[in-house]
Amino acid sequence: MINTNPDYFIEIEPLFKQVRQAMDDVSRFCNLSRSIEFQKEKRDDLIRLINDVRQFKSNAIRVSNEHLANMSLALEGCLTSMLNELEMWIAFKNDDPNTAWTQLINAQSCMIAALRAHDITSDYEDYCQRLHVLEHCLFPPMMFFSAGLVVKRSECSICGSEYGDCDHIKGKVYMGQYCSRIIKECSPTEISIVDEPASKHCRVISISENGIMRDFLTWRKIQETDELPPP
Amino acid sequence: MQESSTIDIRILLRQAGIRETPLENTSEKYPTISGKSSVWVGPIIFIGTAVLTQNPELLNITLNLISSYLYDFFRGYPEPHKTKLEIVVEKSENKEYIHVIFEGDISDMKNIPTVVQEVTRKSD
Repeated sequence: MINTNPDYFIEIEPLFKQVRQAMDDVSRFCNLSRSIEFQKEKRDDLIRLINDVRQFKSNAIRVSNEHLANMSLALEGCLTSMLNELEMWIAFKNDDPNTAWTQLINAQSCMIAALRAHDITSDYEDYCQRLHVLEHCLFPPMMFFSAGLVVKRSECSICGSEYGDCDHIKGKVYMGQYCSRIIKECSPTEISIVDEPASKHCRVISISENGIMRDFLTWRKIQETDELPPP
Repeated sequence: MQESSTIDIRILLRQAGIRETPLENTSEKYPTISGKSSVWVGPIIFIGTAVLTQNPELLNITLNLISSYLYDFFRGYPEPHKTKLEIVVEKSENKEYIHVIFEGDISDMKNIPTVVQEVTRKSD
């Protein structure tokens, strides 16, 4: 259950209700049977609400209210996740499974980040699991790559100091912002094929069978002049 | 070189007021290995004899700190949440060491202190 601490929750409650309503509403259109025109309509509704949430977050950051800033970041993540899922269904309708894959992985990443950002989104753990199930139901078994790096120098995205010198930890949220470790100097050591990569964007995009190069998802023959699918 | 997670664990320990002794000199920075698979690989934790005898709860506290960080880290990811952690325990005066390698789900991390204690006792 969500910890609705009245001290700060009361300020975000109307927006929170709006987000929940939108998530419930749009989820009815996140499937293959709903028509694309309604899915596009819902996509526009979500984009408008995401902008409202971002505005709320900016105001919270301006007045240095960290709870509100982090809560609105989490809500923004939920909405963006569902927006990406909707884009996935739209991409399938447009016969573009490569974009659909990218959107699904973005949806998963956004939802995972939202869950980490604040407990206000804890009711969406099931939604997150649904996105993982969709991956296995809608796409063939995938092959992924994993890169190994030796990092010599990296910076904290929050304060700019050498990562580890400050108290910020990557993946945690500080005043409405995710902390990242920005790699400044590194050398690649290896690339492996793995089942469980850290990033599912690093995947096999084409495969050669009997001398014919095929798109891994569509199985269509790739012409030499064809553009590669998006990463 | 050290695991990339070493830096995060050091920050956690520092925030919890647990003092650790780094291998490197103050001004020195070891490069980190950053593997991009979904398995979380932790740093090798060395526990000296003095720590084990004077503050036996410290290993428990440290592992609780790490597992609670990892529960947050893996939030939203489908199970199992694979982790790997190595612990080296120094045994009394004869300078023998016990090396415990843990590979498994975070939920099993709570068993490490018991395993370390039992292995240490059996080898006495």
